[in-house]
Amino acid sequence: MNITQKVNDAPLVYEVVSQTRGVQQSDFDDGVEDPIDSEEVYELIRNINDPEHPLTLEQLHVTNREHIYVDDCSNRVLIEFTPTIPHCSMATLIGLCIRVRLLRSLPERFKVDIRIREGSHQSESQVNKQLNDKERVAAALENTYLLDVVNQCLATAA
Amino acid sequence: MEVQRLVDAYIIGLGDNADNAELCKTLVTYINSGDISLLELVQALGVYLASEEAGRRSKGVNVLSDVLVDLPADAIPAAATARLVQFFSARLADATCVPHILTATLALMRLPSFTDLFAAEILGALFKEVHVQSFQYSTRRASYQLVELALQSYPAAVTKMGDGFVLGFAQVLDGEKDPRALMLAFQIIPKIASMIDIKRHAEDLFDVIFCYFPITFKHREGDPSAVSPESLKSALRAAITCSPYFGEMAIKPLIEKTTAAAASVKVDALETLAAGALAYSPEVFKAEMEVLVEQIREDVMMAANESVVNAALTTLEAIYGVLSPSAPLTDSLPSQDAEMTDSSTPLDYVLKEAVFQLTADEIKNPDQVGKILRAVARSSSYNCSVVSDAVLPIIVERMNGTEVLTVRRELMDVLNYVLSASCDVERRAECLDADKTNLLSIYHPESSVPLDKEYSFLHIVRLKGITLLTLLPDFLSSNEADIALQTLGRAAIELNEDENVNKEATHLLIQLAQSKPEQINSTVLPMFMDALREDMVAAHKASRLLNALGSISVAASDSLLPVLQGLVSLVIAGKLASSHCVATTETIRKVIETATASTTNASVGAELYTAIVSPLVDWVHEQACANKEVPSLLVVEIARALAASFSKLDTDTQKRNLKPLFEKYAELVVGTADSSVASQYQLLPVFSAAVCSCWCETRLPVDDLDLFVSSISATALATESNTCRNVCFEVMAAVLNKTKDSKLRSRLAQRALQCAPDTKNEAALVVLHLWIARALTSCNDKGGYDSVRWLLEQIRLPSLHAAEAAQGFNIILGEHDWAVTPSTHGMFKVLAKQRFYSTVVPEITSGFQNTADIAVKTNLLVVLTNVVRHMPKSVLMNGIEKVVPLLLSAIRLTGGDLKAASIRTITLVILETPEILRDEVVTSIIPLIIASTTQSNAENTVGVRQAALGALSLIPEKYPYPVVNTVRKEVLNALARARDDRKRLVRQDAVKAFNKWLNLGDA
Repeated sequence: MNITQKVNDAPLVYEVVSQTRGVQQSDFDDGVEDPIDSEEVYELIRNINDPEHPLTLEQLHVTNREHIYVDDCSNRVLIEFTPTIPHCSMATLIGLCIRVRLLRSLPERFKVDIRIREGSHQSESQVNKQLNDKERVAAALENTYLLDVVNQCLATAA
Repeated sequence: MEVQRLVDAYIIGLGDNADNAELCKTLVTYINSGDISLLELVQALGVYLASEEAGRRSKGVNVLSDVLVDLPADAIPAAATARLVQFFSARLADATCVPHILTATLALMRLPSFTDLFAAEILGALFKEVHVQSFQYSTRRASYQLVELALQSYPAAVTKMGDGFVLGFAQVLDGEKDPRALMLAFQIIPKIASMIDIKRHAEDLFDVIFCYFPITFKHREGDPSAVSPESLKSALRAAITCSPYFGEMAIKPLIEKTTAAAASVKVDALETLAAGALAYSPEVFKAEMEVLVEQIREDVMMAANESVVNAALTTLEAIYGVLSPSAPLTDSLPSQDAEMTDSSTPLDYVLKEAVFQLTADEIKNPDQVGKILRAVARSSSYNCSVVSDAVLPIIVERMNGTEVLTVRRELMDVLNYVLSASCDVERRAECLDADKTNLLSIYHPESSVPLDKEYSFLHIVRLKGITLLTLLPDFLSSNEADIALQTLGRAAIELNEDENVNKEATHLLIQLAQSKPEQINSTVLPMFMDALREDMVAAHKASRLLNALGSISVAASDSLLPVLQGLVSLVIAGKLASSHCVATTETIRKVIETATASTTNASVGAELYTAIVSPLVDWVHEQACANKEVPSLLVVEIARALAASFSKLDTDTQKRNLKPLFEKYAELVVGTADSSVASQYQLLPVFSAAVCSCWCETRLPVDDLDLFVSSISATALATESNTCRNVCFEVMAAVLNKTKDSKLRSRLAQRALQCAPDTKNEAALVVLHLWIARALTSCNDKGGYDSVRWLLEQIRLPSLHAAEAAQGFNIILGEHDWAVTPSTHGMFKVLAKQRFYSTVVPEITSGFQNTADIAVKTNLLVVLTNVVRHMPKSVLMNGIEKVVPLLLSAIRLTGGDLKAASIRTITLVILETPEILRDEVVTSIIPLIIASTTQSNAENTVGVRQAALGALSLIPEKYPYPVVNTVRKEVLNALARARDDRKRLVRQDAVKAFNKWLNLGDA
């Protein structure tokens, strides 16, 4: 993987609309339970850095609030992300970053599915398969070089 | 022979590097007193000056130079000056003597007998005979100083030398490398250019200067020369742009430098070009504009570095500013056509590309296109007109022909930039008038566009455009401006699916309020008030509207009173729902606090008190008299607003305004009121706020202060009403605290306590002591500590009200809205908190050690936590190690806010002085904190869990890897559990802490 040569030299950068949830009185009331929702999951991944550019996945519209589906009761999370170009070779790496971030952030009870948004990538099914295969993910994370790259991408998100 | 002896000794001393200051001083004294003449000194030096050995000659000149530097001006006769100049000029060819000759010449040049002729002679010799760059820095510096002095004091000589001077200086500078010397040289060049016509040798001089561009060097720390890279850069820039003759030579290489990869070089080149725009002839830019515009466009479109983009746009604006015809546009446009065609050529480079982009199917980078157009348009009125002429028709035509909303938005975006340029040059382009109808229709709300999230950007861009049209001078008629403001007002008020539209509209209204406050007051404010008055206004909408009104009133001082008066009349008219009434009063209070905090002007406070607070106070009184229910929160908000404005009044005004309040409420607090006024007890906070906000010098309208204090104390101890009791204590504390005479203060405190033995209400007695402690410890009065000891005794006994006493330490040290606070002129002595801390903490510690009773221990820990959480960091850190064990016990034994406060104090210790806890962090602190993160324990409130996670995330940063790694696994397990907390805020903190511990040792 040659990181120095960029796959997409000039990606479109979008204005980030701040929609952070303000702190309410009920946030301090232990009697009210706050279920995990798509907004919270989006907060966890929106600041992950793109492997190629010093920009976040949110700025590149790789991740979107609307493309995150969370069911707290059945412990399921589905994330769809959109690579900046259909032949983006970084798609797997981006997916891996999202997966690692959620592994380190969400409660362990959740099953997380990460997929490329339909029709946004040439090798959609291959990448999806790789990203949702536990063993392949574990093997990838044993590669120290790859883990370093992932950690760098996640440095801004933590 | 004395002279010869001295000179010989001097010369020998020079060889031995001895300190010759004394010898020099003796020689100077002799010459000054006339014992020897300068001629005799030169004669004595003759052997050396005429020696064949270079070293001896140099020493001879050295002595002469030292003496000349120290000699007063009148000791050197005019004839001697002439001889010396002649001698030095000749000797400049002797390289070994040059350093001393330059020093001596600098001294001679300050003499009144030194003439332009001499200056020319010396300069001629310097330029002809001396190869300056072969000398060390001090000599080179002397050369530059000599040139500078000549420019400053002998301009006639310099002007006469003309080209010779320019060439000579270029040769002196050629090859210079020391930043300190360069700084001097660069500062000289603009002076040369201003005095001499450098035309013939401009190229020679330019070549010597420009080879330094772009200049960079690393500034060494502690370098005494104190030349910063920035100052050197700007000195070089000033040198390059000091003469129009440099223009032709500078433009091309500067434009080439803008293509550099390094952002700093790009910025430097662009800024130098911008500076050159003012100095060089516009003609030299014209030839290169195409290349330059192309380069700037690339920089802006790439948008890789904000500083480059800004520099590029500033340069574009500066250059087009000088390229623009100087004559302003007249009304006779047709007659200007020829001129426009001729001079608009450079603008075409920008306009062609912009037009191409604007007519393309997909507009690429509309933001950047707009920024470039704005930079060009705001460079001059003329350019603004040309840009508007070229761009507007295209945008209007495309807007009429396309229904694609994204394209419409992009077009509007570009149009907004052009309009903002018109606002900036404060001259609207004539073409705008012709297109007025079209412009209005462009920004007209489109009913076909749904007000949902997908299109919010379109709405926001449209609102920005409407604002710009309103800001254009004399463009909109007053009717149209009203409609525009109504549109903005509606966008701010009405519910949009995307709140950003509301926010942007409010933001634009705030901007407009600063330039057009009258129109905002007459058109927009009534809309807001009507919206608030409507039935069934949702709480969040009301809060949004109130926030918007608050922001407008704070931003524009002309809108302050109209907004507040509008809100007050809404409250008084009784048209608001009860909760909205409180929210409105809260907004009034916040605005008053902000307005009074930013000024020391008493008239602002007086105006706000008379026009806003006073009517509210009267209204709330009427409500209570009519036995209508007044929410306590509303009363508190009014009281806080009163405190904010009343504290800004002067003493006389305070006294005048206190009188009616005393008439209404004093009876209630001194216990002489009958039961018919019981409903007014709820209004007492208003009275308290007024009395507590007085200056120390303001006399209360009571005949006998002793009697007043003992009466309110007695009322407080006897009353059943909590409000009345609190108010009585607040007033009493304020009176005690603001009594400057310590004897009187003690007497008043005694009066207050005199009623205590009779009381059956022990709880009230505890509160009385707490308030006395607050009033007196803050001004370092020992009476306050008597009360503190009494309270600690209650806790140690333990008495029935020990828990209240322990919790009550929050009253002594905590914040209050108005009673005994710095903002209401409370007396706070320096080191009062330190004294409190050093007095109370040892008593708590010893009390804790001397008791086995868990209840007493817990109460003491509550006191400790209350003390610690209100102490400034500087006080707290002093001797904290003794308190830490107690704080750890407090974490174990307390719960809720107190436990959170203890954890936060421990966190503070970890942050500030981690070494204190190094031995305990793994063994006792981390297990305790981990236990505090569990949600199953009811004591661990959200605040406790958050504080615990905050402490945990700090530990990996503050302690070395080997210390904390032993517990990493346990901590990670605990944090993994905390990631599944039922509260979102806790989960967020858990994730942060988890990642810190996961990456432990990575750094």
